[in-house]
Amino acid sequence: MLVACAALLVVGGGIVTWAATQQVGPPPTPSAATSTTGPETSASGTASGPATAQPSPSTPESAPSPSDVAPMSAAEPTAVRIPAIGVDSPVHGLGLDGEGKLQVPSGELYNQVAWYDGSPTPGEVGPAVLEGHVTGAGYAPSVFFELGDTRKGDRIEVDRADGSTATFEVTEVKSSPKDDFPRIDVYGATDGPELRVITCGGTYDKDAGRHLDNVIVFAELVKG
Amino acid sequence: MRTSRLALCAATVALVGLPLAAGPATADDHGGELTAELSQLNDSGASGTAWAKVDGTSVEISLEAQGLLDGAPHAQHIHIGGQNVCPANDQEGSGFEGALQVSDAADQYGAVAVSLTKEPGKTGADAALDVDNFPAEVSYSYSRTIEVSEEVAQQIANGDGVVVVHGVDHDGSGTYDGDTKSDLDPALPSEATDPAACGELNAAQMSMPHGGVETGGSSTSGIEYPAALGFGTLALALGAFGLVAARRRATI
Repeated sequence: MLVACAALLVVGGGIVTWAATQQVGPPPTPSAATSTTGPETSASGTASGPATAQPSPSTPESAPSPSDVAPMSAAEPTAVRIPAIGVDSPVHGLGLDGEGKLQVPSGELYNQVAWYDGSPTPGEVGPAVLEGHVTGAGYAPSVFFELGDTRKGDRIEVDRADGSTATFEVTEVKSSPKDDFPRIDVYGATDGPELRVITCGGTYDKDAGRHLDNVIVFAELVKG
Repeated sequence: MRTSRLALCAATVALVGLPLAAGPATADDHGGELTAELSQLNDSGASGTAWAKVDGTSVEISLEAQGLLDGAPHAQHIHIGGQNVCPANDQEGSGFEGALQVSDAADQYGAVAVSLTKEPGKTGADAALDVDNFPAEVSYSYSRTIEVSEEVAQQIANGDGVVVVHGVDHDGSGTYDGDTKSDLDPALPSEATDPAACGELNAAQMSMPHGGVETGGSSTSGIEYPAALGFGTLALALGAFGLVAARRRATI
């Protein structure tokens, strides 16, 4: 009897302790400084490795202008990697729903990244649009849980169906209320090949069952 | 925006009766939407965005602007012509202390093609200075659907339109004044018409989705593995209860 009770205590305590370590806080939100240039953004950029450093002594600006990189021909994206936040996901295509809103990953592909198939393919001129969930059902983090921790200068690599890889560099990370979504900044015409990576964030409205903000990463092609 | 020559070719092709399908405008492929990012001229501090959609000879346009002089009318137009581009913010002109006046950049953005007045203002080039019907706030949202000629509709769809918002308080007096007269109307001070912000209307490269993106799931601030927590707590409680009960029985 005593042994059974002691065993219950040990097992119960173990389970509670384990569960306590599995608790997940809210997803990170972009710091205010990431919407403009800030000292800590460049610091995190150099800290993430030599890949983010542009050894170009002739120009003090580290980011090459988009015109320096030739646009790529059309090829649909197959996978995306954001090493700074540990993202490595296959990519599938999604379109608009009946109301003209962007469809979101669902079913077996829920935790994968989607590309808006009406936007340019990554590497073509224009803003290619990628999206992914921040959280899943049952409080679990999804593929872009850490997207708000992306910093200016981080690299985003997109593998394409023709075997090539388009490499982008983050220029800005923004958080915007969904009801005041910066539609033109995100989807509007661009001169060069760019990338937009979108997920949810901000306050979670329990009644509505949705996050109130979108986290948006802006990036430019730096290597075709 | 360097499509004017191509547009001319396309127009010529149209004139001789060939289909326009091979034209340079990709707008038709993507729902005919155009966007512009407005940036400051004359160090005005103004900025904004514009969106337009061409449907036949109807142009639906919306414009959001910030950082303008409050309480003073801001003439706003779609210019077409020149190189169909905006001048640079630091470009010097013939106005107050080298300020850029409207005509100084005519080679770049051409002439007024559409006046973006509010109802009931007229929208042709001759309404360019209809000061009673222009927005007059520090920041504003404007939208209107405007009928234009076939030529203007085609030019805007081709990406030749440049949105210019006017009115700069160079001397910081809080109102349009000063000795320099407007190059458009000598009855007005130059501050009233000098360009404050400019953006090139380019064809969007996609059919732009509406609204935000519903990439949430649920909140992660809830309790993870509630079943494990519940079961574990129950086991703990049972074990403790059992131990206490066993000790009591032992002491009695």
